[in-house]
Amino acid sequence: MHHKLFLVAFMALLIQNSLYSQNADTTFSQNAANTLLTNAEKNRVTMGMYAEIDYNQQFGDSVKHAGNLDAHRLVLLFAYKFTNRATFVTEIEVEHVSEIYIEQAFLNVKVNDKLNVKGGMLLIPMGIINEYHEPTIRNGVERPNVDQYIVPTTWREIGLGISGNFNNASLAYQLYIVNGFIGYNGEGKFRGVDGYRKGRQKGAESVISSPNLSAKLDYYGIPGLKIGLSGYFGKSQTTAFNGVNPDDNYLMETADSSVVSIAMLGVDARYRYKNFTARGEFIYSNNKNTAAYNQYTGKDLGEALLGFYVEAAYDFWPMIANNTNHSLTPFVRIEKYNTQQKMTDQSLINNAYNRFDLVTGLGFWISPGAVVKADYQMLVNKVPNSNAVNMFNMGIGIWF
Amino acid sequence: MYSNSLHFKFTLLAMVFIMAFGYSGPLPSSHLKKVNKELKQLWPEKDVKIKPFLIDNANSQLAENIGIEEVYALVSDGNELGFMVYFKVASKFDVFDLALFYDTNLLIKSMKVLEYREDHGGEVGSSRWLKQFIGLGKDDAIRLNDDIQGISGATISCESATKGAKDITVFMNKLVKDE
Repeated sequence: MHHKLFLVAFMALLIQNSLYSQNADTTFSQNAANTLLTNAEKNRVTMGMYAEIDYNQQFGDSVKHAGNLDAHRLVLLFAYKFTNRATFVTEIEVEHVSEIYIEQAFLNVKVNDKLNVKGGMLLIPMGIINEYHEPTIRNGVERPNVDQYIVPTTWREIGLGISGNFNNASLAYQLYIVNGFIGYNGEGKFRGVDGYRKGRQKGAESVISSPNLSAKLDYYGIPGLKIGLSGYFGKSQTTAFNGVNPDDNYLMETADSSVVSIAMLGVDARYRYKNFTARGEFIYSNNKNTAAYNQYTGKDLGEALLGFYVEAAYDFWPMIANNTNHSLTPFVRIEKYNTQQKMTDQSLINNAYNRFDLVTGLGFWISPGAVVKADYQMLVNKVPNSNAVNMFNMGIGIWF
Repeated sequence: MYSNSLHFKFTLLAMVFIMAFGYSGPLPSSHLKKVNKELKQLWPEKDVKIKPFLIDNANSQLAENIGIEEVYALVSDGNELGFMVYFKVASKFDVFDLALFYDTNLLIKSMKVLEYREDHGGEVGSSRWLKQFIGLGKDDAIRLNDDIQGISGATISCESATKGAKDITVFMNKLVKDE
């Protein structure tokens, strides 16, 4: 009787295995939607999304201004778990309704807690917002301007590297070799008005002439506090060397004028104690070879860019009702930033790039993943006798 | 013959079930190592063994719902020293494995992350962060941003771990003390 039992069990095993292999075979002939719906696959796929829809209105001066309504960002997240250790993560971004980008796309292999190896399109770890920019985890309708003009969020390039946590020391690290900004592709890309912003290649048929290094160290050993130190180093990318004979000193030197060497350093801190939160970022970036670059390209890139902000907020909802799902959080933030912090050629200095912002507003979180926001921005620059620009912003943000 | 064929069918069903859904039985050996290391830390003088603790039918669905994989009694020389719960909660894209250690009064003696799978949010395994749970019991809030402070950038995982600790502490009081 027993061997009969064994035989049946063995057959069951065979049938089971053949069912499995059949599943595996057909997976490849199914389309993506079918795969998502297969029960066995359910635990392997993660879908998510974040979105922000904004209203921006300038006001308070002598002339009229039309407002702006924008489905600013709609970002779809997909993650697929191949094995316990190998995961692919991607975020597909639809910006201003019609522009499609990839915000992240990387394969991560977790060796252990201390070591992940990843490759693909990576977010550059610089400051806070570039990595953590979802509308539900920051105050204000718009991202801080330091994370627009100094750190060009969302800053991502193709590369590879390692990351991990040393939980006994409360330290996290990230270390990547990535493609850099393009500084020249027939015309200069860096400029005073928005720093490196136009130089982001975003992994789209990107040009590489010199890989860059990006690193971040985070310390989280004090409850409620996280402190980050970021560094980014390397030369900008260029097409000016294409077709140049390396022995031709004159042409080599001319082409070299299309390149700047960037060294960016960032310090950031995030703190939370019960209902009080505070955060700040300080970013300094030094560019070498800007005199030659500006002459070669006709641009006005600063020799140094500097920006910082501090922000404080308090969640009053627990005082109104003890429902932790909601949050009612006023905040205030001051920002100071200058894309031409240092400039040898005084004639290129534009005081409009030396700016100060005061931002204050309110967010009501219906749930941790859904927020309605309103704020006021006072934007001031150093142009003599210039008036502050007043902005009123409203928006909804979601993340799941 | 009838009972035998029924036995057959049952065995067959059980095997198919186990193969299809996996067996969420004892701790994987890598986890067991970490658990034993922690037990040595908590009771340096004693040789503590873990023994599966039966979850009755009335509580099994609830246990599953809050991510419990297994409950163990902690025993040394025939004396019960407390309990250990092996459970899983969600991070952003995945789940991660934790262990909660209780004394006999069901106060938390320690919480450990046994395995974290995602690249982001691994801060939740920080020993300094997990220390916040020591000494808490069913009368404590065990709530993020209340008696537990979170970690920026690992909010989802900290939230899950905190909620897990709360749910499981309440559950253990129900299971062990019938409260």
